[in-house]
Amino acid sequence: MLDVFGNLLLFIGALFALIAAIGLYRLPGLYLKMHAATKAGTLGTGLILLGVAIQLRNLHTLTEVILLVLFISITNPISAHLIAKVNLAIKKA
Amino acid sequence: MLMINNILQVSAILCVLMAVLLTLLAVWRFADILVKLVALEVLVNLFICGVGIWALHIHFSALLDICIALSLIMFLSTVAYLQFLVKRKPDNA
Repeated sequence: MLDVFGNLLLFIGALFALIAAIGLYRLPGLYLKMHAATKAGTLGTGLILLGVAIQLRNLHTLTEVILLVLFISITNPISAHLIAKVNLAIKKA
Repeated sequence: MLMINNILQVSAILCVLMAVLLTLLAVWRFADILVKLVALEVLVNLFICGVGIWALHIHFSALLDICIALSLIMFLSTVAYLQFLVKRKPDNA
């Protein structure tokens, strides 16, 4: 049962990653592309890693996945913010 | 039960592969350098997803160290490249 739940999380995460890629390809402009890529991409990666941790079920994997999700959800918005700031600075100059 | 697991895992792998193809198309097609940077960030996120699925597939949790290294490299290289873009002199001024 736990395996099915982990695989379901894996599938939902992969779907979110696909949505991120479609949004990156289809939406117009840098800011809309960044919106799709950052939010959906971060959620997809986190869900996939959580599904892997649920299925492998040992302490090493769980610790690493928690650290990884924390790190990704901290650094991904920071880099998106920096990209927006640099876009503003380049377009103004 | 085993069949549900197999179907979910294979469809997750297919979704990630389609997302990688779409993101490579976006890197190849769009001319703006910041859009390319966002697309490369999504690509590294998808590689992290792929390495996670690979670690699940062969039941070897040490592969998640690759994910940690990739996420560190992604953040640091994005920040360094943006700093380079800000400090560069405009070549068509």
